[in-house]
Amino acid sequence: MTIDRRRFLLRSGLGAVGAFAALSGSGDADADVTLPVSGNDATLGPVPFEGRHQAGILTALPPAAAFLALDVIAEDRSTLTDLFRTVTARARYLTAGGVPPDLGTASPPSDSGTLGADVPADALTVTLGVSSSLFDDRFALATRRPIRLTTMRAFPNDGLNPDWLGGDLMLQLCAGSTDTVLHALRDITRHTRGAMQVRWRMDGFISPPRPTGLPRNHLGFMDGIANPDVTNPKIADQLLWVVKGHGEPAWAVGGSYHVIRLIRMFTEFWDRVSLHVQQATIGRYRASGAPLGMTSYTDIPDYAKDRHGYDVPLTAHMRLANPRTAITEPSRILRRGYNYDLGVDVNGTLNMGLVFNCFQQDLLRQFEATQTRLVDEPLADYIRPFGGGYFFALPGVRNSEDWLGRGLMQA
Amino acid sequence: MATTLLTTAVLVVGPDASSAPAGSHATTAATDPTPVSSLQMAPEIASYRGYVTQKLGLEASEVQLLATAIAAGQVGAARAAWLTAHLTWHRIGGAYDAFGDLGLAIDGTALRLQDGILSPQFTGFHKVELDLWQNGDLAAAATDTATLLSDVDELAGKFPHESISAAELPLRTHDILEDALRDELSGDDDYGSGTDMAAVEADVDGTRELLSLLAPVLNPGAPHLEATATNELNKLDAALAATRTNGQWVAVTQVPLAQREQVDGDIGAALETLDLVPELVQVKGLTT
Repeated sequence: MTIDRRRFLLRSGLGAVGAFAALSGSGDADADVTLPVSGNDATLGPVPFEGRHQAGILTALPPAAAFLALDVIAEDRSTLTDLFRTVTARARYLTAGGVPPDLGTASPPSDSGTLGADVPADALTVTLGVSSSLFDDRFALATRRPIRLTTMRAFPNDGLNPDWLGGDLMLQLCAGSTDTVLHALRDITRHTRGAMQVRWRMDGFISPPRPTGLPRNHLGFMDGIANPDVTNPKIADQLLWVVKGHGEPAWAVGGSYHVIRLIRMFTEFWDRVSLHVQQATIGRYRASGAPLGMTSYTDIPDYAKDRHGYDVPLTAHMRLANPRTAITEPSRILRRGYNYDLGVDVNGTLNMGLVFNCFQQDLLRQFEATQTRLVDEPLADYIRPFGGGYFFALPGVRNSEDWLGRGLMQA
Repeated sequence: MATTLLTTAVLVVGPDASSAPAGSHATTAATDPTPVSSLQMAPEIASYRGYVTQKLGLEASEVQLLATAIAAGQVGAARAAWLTAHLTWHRIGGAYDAFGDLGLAIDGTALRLQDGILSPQFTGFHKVELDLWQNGDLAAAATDTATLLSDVDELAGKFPHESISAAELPLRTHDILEDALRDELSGDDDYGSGTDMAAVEADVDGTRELLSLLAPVLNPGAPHLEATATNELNKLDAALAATRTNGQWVAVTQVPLAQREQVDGDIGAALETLDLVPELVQVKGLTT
């Protein structure tokens, strides 16, 4: 295999220079920003790229997303380093927006033009993660693997399809609109040809609240209601971020374990089930999102009072996922789910579902513990997890000299 | 389907007039279904138990014939025997974990398993199908058929004494074909035989059995449902039969699009009617 290294490096350098000059100093290195979600506005402003943590984790969810699992095909460590630097440079430029450089008539344009002559930031976030396969013998990184980074296992109700599994890297792109996501996707892949290759890709979207409250999934239920309050730094350090003192390599501090599960929803079947069963399966009223027996989606169910499950059945998805006990509290995760919609299957049924997307401090203690509680839940009849993976979202880029993966590559 | 749910949320399954689907199917919705107690359902449950028990006996003998054909090294006869035995399983209506882990051992696919077809937990009809069609491995087929036979025997021995929830019957009347749509008409559970259309035909038989069994309970509240569903199942059967070429079944993905669309559309229409059954038969109490 030969890599067109010249082109790869040439492209890496272009654009970034101009963008840096125009926009350096726009980021606040320690800010975690919460953006309002806006479904219909033309464009949103920029989300700061630099920070202790990568954007796209605490950032509020904009309506459009793409999840790309990529295989690194770079043949050596220095090319892998170049790849990290290139992704950083492109992300820095794309998340800030601006006028792409004019390369003159002797070269194809530097930008696809799909967002016009002046690229808007549109709340774009670029979040990069690495999987356990990157720590095999190719780049001699084995000793630097985050110690809790494993390969996603098959849970009992899964139907995993190898076409939708694996990847050395995970690139999560989120933005105010689909064209912004696709623009970033084309830009980043163009600048990294020969170093990484898309293995699978799933696009996602979030619906506007109908009518109020939180967005709904394809089952008609509000999703993402009971997230832990990770805007509280103390809680974030307990549940979200890798912190010092857990046996993790020093470079990994500030990162977060990232789980993606592609979950098919059998919507035709679901639509043929009574509202009673739907609600008992989830544990909430479909219309209001309120826990069964309560009135508002913000109400907190009191399972100690409802210990026989007369209001919320003991096997309801919501109750199994988060039983709200002292013992299960440390297993809570930060969910950032997106709906997906992918045409039709060979049998004519709609291929749609959820990109289950969550971040946490510890895969085993959090995601796997939660998923284990959900084994054979009644909801399992209407869904089928078929792909995804475990990744480690790298720590953030601290300043204009820093780059994603620097700690990993230079440790 | 919702059997686990019902253990904690008893009686949540019930009619909801406001949720009746719009369009032609709404005409089959009852306005005032009668709640049925488990005790009242005792005759239906007894009939169902008798039906499944009888079919499990047949199943055991058919798997034995499969074993004999394999032992004789007759691949063609073994494949034919496999299909016969597999269709009997589908007529039993073993969809949706109806028979728990034993049911999965008998007719589960490799999809759910960590190592897929290489997993030692991949057993039963589909493993033998893989042996006979894709791998041409008669020795493996013999071993796997012995396992299948022992699992079928175990189930046949246990089933007559298992408790059956009355609520299972209306659910299964709907669920067998949901299973068929998801796993068979997608081709997901085809391990080489290309006989998914035949399996769906057998699923229709199993569904008809349950429908006629429940008719006495259904008819008072929904006088037209049985006839509507029967018409739709007839149409589906005709569409399935039309996919045969020279008397041979054709793999789902090889069936011409127009014929596949007919099958997919007809099963969908039947399901939109059958989905009312669990709502109309409101079962009080759990098991007998």
